[in-house]
Amino acid sequence: MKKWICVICCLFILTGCVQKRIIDELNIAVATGFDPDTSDEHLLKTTFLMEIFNKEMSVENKTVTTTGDLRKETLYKANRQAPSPIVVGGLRLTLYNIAIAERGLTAYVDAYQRDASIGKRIYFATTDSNTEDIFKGEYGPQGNGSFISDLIEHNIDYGDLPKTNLTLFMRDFYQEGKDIFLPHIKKINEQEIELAGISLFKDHAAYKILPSDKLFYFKLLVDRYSRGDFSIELPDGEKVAIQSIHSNHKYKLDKKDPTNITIKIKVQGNIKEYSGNNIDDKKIKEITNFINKKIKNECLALIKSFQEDNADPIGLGKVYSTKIRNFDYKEWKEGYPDLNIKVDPKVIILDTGASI
Amino acid sequence: MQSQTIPNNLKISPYLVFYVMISMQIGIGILGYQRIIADYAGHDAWISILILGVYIHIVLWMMYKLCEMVNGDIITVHEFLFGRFISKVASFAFVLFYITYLLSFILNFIEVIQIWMFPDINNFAFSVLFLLLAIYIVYGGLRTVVGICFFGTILPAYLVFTFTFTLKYADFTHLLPIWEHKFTELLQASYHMSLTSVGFEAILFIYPFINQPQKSKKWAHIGVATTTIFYTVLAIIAFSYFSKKQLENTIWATLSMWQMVQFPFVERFEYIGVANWCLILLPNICLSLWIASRLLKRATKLKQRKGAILISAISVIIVTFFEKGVDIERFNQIVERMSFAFVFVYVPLLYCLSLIIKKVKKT
Repeated sequence: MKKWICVICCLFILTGCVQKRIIDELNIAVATGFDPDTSDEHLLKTTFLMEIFNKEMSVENKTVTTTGDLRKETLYKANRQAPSPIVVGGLRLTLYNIAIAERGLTAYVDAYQRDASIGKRIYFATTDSNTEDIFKGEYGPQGNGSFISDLIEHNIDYGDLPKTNLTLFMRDFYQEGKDIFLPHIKKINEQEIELAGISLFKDHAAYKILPSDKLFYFKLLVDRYSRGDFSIELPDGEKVAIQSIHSNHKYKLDKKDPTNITIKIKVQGNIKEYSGNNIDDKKIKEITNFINKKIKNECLALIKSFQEDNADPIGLGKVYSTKIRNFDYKEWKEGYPDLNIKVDPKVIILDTGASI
Repeated sequence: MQSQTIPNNLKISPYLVFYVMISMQIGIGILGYQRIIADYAGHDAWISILILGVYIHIVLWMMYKLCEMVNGDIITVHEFLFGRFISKVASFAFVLFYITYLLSFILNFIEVIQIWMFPDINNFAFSVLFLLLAIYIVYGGLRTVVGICFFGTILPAYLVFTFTFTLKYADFTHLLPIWEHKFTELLQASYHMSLTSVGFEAILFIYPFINQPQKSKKWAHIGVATTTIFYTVLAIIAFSYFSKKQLENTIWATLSMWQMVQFPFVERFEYIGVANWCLILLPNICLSLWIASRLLKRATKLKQRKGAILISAISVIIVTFFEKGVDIERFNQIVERMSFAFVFVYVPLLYCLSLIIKKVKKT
């Protein structure tokens, strides 16, 4: 009996072994931003955004900005300005000033991968303006960090933004034969912020921003739609809106000459709004053909521009490496601008809504 | 030959061998084996798991043949083949083997906890607590230990479903083109898979405790096949989820995949997963401790209860010497070589030898 009392006592004593972290006594950073430091080009300015929950149920945005060399170093320094320790376990978003992104993101990946306390579903995004300015705006009642990450999230689920998060970023970052891309955020004024497009990367450095009106075609090429919207002006001046778009794409290599590749895109959707009169079978055929042609031209133009820039955000190099045995990536990359890429879209209108 | 009669009320039902196999095979290696095998065979490494799986079935069949020959455990086999002295030496070797085995579980799990949950957890305190629990279970005898094996398989089984969350992000084209690597590379990956797959050799030690061991054969093979299939599927999921170089940089691929799991009420699932892993490791540690203490009892007449305490004490002392992750990595390599040598080289050799010696003894 005595023995067991000893054991039980041990259990109670030993429970104090691990450091406690009480949530009320922590500063949980929801977003970080990286800006270049104007004084020294090796240093970077890091802004941590904390959400402070007030008693009146409102959220206050608090930012702390520090400069440093390593990402973690800036965190230590930021703690000097905060009333309680800042922790990064609750991060939802990281913003990069486009100037930082243009220098390359290689140096930033390590900290996010090595630190197991950072979640893998967080979003990376680039922005034109100073990230500190962005975090200081007042966009919504839920706090800026949550606001921007929710904005990205619903645009992935329902909009034209291809799937992105830290995991997919890491995958593409390490993938030979695919260049990364990130959502691009733009601040309009103190109350408004928008998704302005996608920043394209080449060798892990940003080089170009794809405007948001090209995103529909870009997403058709790199991702698949599960619920998308799309509207287009027909040649006769009428406009048509298509909803609940499903899309899928496949790559077909020419067996004889693998430099010929066809991207087959299948798009399905319902017509939800039409500015003309009635829609009959003939009209549907006309609309389908027109959209087909439009998708083909726009996608080809995008691909052509990627080839000219020698960037590969679609991941064609990866496609080739899975289809050709003993694939030599370097040799392929030299021939990439001369690849003969075709786009073969197939648009299917499933439904025309509740009226004729 | 030392007669070994075990009363029927201490024996276990044959079907429980299924749970013993699964719970002993699945331990700490599963948290990160994908990176290790992908280093050698890239995206084809899942074939290596299947190759090793076939070999495991052959070795398991040999183990049963060996035990059937003398109707006892591996020590009796040694006694029958080489005499009493060698069998004693072998017992001590196996005790050492199971102590290192037990240590590898504790050390690796502490490292996982330190990196993923509590950076300042105390090696000593954790291993003392865990081994106290293990001693308590071992005091209950093999039937209790096997009961823990049963619960250690059934209760955490729901974790299988959490991997479906990663399918949303899986890109199965990563696996193409199939069989791009040389056969020797695949075999190398199979070799490095061996540490993750061992554990089924426990049958060599618990054989005398199985009620109607003939019937348990079927269950042992089903158990081993289940783990092989599970490992293969999990490797395929990991290969389709990570790109090649990304996997090279991910030490615990299984845990990293959990970072993607999200429920409305759980933001970060990996914490629940790591905490749950205690339950998966418990049968490993208990059965290792039971086997080591039983061998000690057979070799030295030391009581099994005292043996269990002695072995735990030694383990705790050794655990406190390990501080760096690099040391643990080196230790794992030793355990890998040892377990491969014992299970996949020594046992088949012993089987061949037993066939020859049996022939010689008859004539």
